[in-house]
Amino acid sequence: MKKTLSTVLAATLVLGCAATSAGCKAKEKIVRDDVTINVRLYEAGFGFDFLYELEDKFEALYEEEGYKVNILKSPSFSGDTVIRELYKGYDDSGIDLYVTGAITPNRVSEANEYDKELCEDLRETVFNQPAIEYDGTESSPVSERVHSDIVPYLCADNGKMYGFIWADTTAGMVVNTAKLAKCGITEYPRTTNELFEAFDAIKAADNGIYPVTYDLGKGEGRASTYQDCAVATWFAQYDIDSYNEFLRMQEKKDGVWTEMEDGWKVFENENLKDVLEVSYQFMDKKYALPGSSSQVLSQAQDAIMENKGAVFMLNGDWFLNEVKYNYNDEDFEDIDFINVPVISALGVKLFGEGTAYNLNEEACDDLLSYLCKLIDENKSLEEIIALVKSEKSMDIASEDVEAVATARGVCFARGIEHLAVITKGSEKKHLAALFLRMMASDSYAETFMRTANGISPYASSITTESNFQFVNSAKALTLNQHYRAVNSRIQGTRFKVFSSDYMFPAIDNLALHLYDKAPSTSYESAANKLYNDSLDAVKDLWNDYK
Amino acid sequence: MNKLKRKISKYSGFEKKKFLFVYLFIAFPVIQFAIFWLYVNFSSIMYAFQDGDGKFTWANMKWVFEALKGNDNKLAFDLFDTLKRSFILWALDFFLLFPIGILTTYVLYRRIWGHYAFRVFYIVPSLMGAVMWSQLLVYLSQGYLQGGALVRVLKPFLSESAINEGLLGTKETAFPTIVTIKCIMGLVCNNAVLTGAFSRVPDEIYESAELDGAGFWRTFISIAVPCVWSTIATLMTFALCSVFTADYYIYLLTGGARDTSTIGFLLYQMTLDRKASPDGFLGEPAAIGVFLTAITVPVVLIGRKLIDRVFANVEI
Amino acid sequence: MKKIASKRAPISEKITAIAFFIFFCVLALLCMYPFFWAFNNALKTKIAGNSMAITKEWAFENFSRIFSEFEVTGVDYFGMLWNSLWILVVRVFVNVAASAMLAYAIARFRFPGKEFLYVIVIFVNTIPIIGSGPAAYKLMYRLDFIENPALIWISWASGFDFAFIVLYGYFKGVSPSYSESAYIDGAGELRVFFSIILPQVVPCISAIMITQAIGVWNDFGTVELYLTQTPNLAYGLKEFEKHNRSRKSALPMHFAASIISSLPIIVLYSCTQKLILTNMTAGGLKG
Repeated sequence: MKKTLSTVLAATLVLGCAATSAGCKAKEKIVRDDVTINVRLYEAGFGFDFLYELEDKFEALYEEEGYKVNILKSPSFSGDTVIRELYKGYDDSGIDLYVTGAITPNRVSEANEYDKELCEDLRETVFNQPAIEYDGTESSPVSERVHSDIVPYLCADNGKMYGFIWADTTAGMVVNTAKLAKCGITEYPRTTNELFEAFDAIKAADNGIYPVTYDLGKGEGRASTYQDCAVATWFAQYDIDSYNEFLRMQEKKDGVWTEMEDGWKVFENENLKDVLEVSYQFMDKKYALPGSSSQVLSQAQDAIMENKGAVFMLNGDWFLNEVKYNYNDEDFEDIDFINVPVISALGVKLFGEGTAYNLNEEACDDLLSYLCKLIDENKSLEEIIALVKSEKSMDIASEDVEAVATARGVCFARGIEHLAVITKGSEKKHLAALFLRMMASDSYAETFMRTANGISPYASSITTESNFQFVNSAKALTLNQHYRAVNSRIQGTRFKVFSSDYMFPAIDNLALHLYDKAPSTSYESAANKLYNDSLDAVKDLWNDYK
Repeated sequence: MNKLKRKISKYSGFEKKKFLFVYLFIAFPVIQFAIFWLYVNFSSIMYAFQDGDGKFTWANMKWVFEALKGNDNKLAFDLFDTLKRSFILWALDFFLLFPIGILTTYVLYRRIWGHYAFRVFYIVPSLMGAVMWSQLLVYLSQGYLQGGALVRVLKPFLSESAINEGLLGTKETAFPTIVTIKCIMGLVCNNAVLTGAFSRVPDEIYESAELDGAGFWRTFISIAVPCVWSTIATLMTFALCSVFTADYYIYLLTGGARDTSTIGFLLYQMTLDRKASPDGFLGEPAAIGVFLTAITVPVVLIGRKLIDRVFANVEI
Repeated sequence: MKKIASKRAPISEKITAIAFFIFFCVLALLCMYPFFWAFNNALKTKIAGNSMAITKEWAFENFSRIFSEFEVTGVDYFGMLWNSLWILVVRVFVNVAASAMLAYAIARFRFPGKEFLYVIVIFVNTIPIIGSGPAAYKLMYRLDFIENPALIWISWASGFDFAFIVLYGYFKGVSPSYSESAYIDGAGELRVFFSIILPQVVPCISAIMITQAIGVWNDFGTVELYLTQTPNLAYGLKEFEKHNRSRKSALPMHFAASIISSLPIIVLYSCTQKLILTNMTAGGLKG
């Protein structure tokens, strides 16, 4: 017995040594030559096929030069891993290009925090260069092909652009049109009041279908962040500049973001109260499919796709990619995508008591909804003013129409969290730049839509229609002339004051917080409490920072 | 120097010849300890009293006291409630589950019917591991519509909210559910060590007790427990230290949400947060650690003294 | 040791035994039910409705799909199994080796600093110093141990833990005459340690290794912090579930993977239960 155990122990010693060295050597193959770009790909809900197709096209175009692409799937989904690899440097990792969904512009842009630059500046090599089609023709410069709202999110405080956005994805609402019709609703809600009326109508139909569902349960207790996107969208609908100031805790002086004397004051904004009130109402348990707080994503998706369950769900336009494993294509006929409705309080602010229009709340919302309808039809501001005059017998100021157009056009662009970066010091950065320029082409946009149901942020002239209404609706949002893009990844001074991505300090799970509101508490009082608590917290954090 | 010479002179020539071997033999574990325990803990304590520039400050410790009072904006969880829940779980473990664990181990040692199989069954949750076990529990405790099995079984005893949202989905039931899970897993604990201890007690002692008319309970309380008291004392000492050990179950089951956070979970989460800025400021987590150490050390020392007094003179 | 409630035991003892038996049965059911629930659901093509319902589908292919489809960002099941094995072997080995070296020296030799080291061990095991996780992570980062399998084992080789306490007792219990007669025969220290003393404590070392193996096999925390690029099965299960929450067909396969992954350790424990129970002892902490 002892001899056997001794032999076993000796064998494990040998195995251990062999295993350790094997563990070390079991690394992927990095190709260190002059013509191969090593690309680390982190899947972000789009699969891998789109990049493999791009790889083939790139190698075909540059066959004569012998350029190659070596795609390496990531062993980790963590943004921290990417940052750590970038910090270790090119000599250590050998990775020329990261195509990620896991890092954000502020993380990469805070070069000074790491006492060295982590990524190459892409302005001269990519953004100011023309996009390259699959056949080699050069089209317009990349910078002209991306929406102007997105560019500032990609810029560091030093003006450099380290990140290349490779997906233009909106966080909005998935809707099951068949179930909506079953509950007697024929039009999509355009304002939050209409949304809550729809919720009430769905509940009143009492046919086992619930208005909305979520995936708040993950075992680790951290709900998905789609709810946070909706809250951010509602706030941005008021005024995008104020929203960006809120995110950065900075103000723009002569076109440059500057730290404020009292940065905490960006939280002192009455519009936030309205936003929180709407958020509490949206997340009220009475509207949610029972058990939404413990559901995982597949269960929430089931609740949308199947006969009972729920009608609406906050999600992004990658919903199709997430459910495609579980359902056939024909099952998506009843699935559509809409933007987050416009907050009705904005209508009251623009047209209500005390304004030139002096409308009551109901009339404000009717007008707001009507204007949103025209904006959805991609009418210009002048056309809208004329139509309001002819159909509503009303003179409406252009700045008010513009305010509504902005609000309706605001989309939460989660694509800003999908960045491609070139490692600082990469020996093949010029090749990586070519690869990225190809990613900005129309040909790639068609690839991305076909293989990943994705929308490229550079596809200003793409006309390819998807087989799925859902995808076409999502694309239509970004093609609308009033489209505006926002994101909630904090930047600027706020990143230094409290370096988390949560909108409100000390609440790391806003959705759960909203969902867990006691039924006896009114939306208004809950919103006021959260508003005041956040304001106090931010003041303390600002004082600590100063 | 003379002191050292006097010390060394206590050893024989034979023993002195071994010094080189001994010191070389223990060099690696001692150096490893010096780096990974001594340096780590020492630096952790130092960080508690340093600001971001490395200068001495009381600010971090002040922050801990403010956080306990609820005046904190940096932690996502209420520190006082978190501390309270940690003590509840520890007290449950130490005062209830541990004594029951001794009893159940003794019963298994006394070869109750099916004891071999029971030993395997009770260790299965530990063998399956925290990840698998907690993932199963998450699904089992989901709401009624999601097919949660536990909710269906316990439906008559649950509120509508708990039935809808699941046992981990409401504040009322989340922490009690976790307490229940810990109880089930902790009812048969320290089985291996205690069984080994019981087996070292000579059978003659039990037999003579039986001849004197001692029944099961008498034998257990007056013979078995005193005879293995040194082992029980050791395990109790370790249990005293375990109040703030890393809690993977809370992390995996709820992530601390719905008023379930414990210190063990909080500390693990704070370590995970280091991944974002590994070289960053550590003052606050370190200050929490110092504060908790200051509470725990006297408790452990006093506890050990009390434990040593019980059955102190039992010799087999 | 006499069985509980033997034939000649009084009625009250038998009632006590029956009560305990019922209690143990209920406890066993509570402990085992999740395992059977997982197995039942692993045989379904998707989990919907009442998850307690016995499967009608008997989709055993979920178990074979693991080997082709169970993947966490580029590392397949076999890759994770390999990582689990080498992490287990290396970690258990270096920890027990370091503990054995230290315990042997302190138990069998007299040297300056011996009592001091012993006190340190007792101190480390009985006085908790809390909250050093972040500081430990910082050190590991500075030493470049993170994502570095070649070096991380050094951090695992702690000789000052519970294994020391168990081994110390065993080394102390080995009669000095064994080593003395070996010295007389001309054996060196290493020869004495490896050929004379170590074989005497092999059962104890085996018990410690198996006990530690159970913990290491299921440890995902260390991998999540320091070795995400070489995921083991525990971490892989966690990440797989996280990344596949939208794939309904993935959940049964996930449960199948969980069962398969825990089987080796369940089998190991079942086969070595007696060894562990008879060789694990930790008594008389003095200091």
